Amino acid sequence: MIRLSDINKSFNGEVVLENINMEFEEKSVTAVLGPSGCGKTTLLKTAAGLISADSGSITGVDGKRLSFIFQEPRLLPWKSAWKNLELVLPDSMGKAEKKALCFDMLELVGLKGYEDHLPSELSGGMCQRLSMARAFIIQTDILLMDEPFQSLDLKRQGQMINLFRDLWIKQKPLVILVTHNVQEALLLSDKIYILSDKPTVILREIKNPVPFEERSISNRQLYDLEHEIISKYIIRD
Amino acid sequence: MKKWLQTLLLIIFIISFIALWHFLSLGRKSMIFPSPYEVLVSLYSIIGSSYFLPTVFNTIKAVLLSFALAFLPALLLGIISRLVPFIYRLMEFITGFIRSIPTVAIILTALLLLPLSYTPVIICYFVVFPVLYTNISEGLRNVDVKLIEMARVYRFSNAKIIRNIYIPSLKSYIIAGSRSALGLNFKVMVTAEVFNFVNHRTIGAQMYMHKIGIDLAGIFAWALIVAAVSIIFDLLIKIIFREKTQND
Repeated sequence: MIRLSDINKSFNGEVVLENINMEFEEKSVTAVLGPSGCGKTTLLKTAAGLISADSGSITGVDGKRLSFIFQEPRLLPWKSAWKNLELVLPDSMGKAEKKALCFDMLELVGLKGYEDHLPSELSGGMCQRLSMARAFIIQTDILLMDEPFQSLDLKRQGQMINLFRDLWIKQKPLVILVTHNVQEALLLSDKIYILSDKPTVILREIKNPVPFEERSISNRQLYDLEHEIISKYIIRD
Repeated sequence: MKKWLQTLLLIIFIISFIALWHFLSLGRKSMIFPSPYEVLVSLYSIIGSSYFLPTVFNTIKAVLLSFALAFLPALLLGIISRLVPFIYRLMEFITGFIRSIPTVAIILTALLLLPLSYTPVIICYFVVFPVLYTNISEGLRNVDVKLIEMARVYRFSNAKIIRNIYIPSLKSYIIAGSRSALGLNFKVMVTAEVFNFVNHRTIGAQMYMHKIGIDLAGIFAWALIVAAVSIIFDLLIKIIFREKTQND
């Protein structure tokens, strides 16, 4: 379990995170939901150790294997699709084994036949699928996701959400998903933290009442919960 | 525009240029304005001479030597300036200063202060170094920090980051810098050789001798040779780096 205790973070005198306490369970997806610019990415990067907090403590990350799906795919433009995956595999693994693993993973995410394509030769959705494949190709302990579907259209978002669910169920890493999309948070997460605008504090913690396998946009409970969250925390004025 | 059409337009342009040149040279003496045919005859005579290859070889050798001498310090200082902000500011000042002073001032100062046999190489070093340094330094500063952040998350070693992110990012800057620097190097080298008359077997010295003989056709012919050699080296850089990229 990852535990953030009394995390505070400021940038140039502006308080971004204020006394944040959160717990992220093993084998579960936790969403951090909040308005754009409220400090969600800062929170995620702090949890990953990419940014150090001004005060407070983070436990449960040291020694764990991390993966990250960013807002943009962050692929190496000069490497082919399978070479982008190969890069994150351990150096101790044999070359043939690496290649086979990469090709299998590309098939799993629907990129069979595009193994030797450069990112510039793939569409935005395909690049994001490749980025997701990179996150799951290592047996990751912790997966951090920073609004990974934000740049995609609705149809692609739906495809990516389904792909994520298929991949997650195989490994079940601890996932922290940062998003401002309520529906996305409800479909994917077991627990949701709702954050305020800056300085960011936790407004509410919600356990998802619907089990992972039964979640869909037509589920009545999720529909009601979505409307409750939107009316209470998003359209408050 | 289709490629064959581009090639056709280029051929039409070249033929028109030669025709215009020929037209302008009509009725003028060769020493004032040689015709394309006279330049071609002079070019044929130069290429057929025994001194042609040693002359071109000496100039190419000096160009490559000054390029190599400039490249390594430019790379090293580019890396250091990325790590130490003070060195970056200092180098910005130094390269800006070198770039702003006239090349002829560098040539004349070098001729007065340095041993004659080394002057063309030293002169070219000072002209080429700022071009290479600026490209390498800018390349290093423009490496995508988001890719570095991704590499840190996936725990790439420093060697892996350098090999897979820094070097490929820098490649286009090095190609552009090398192409500009080599083109400039040939031009400045020939100018320096005109002023520096220690070795007769250099392109600049040959041009100077044609100038003394008021042989403008010979000067034009050597200018065409310099342009051809410079273009060949430019193509070589493109081919080497393109093949390297395909192998990656």
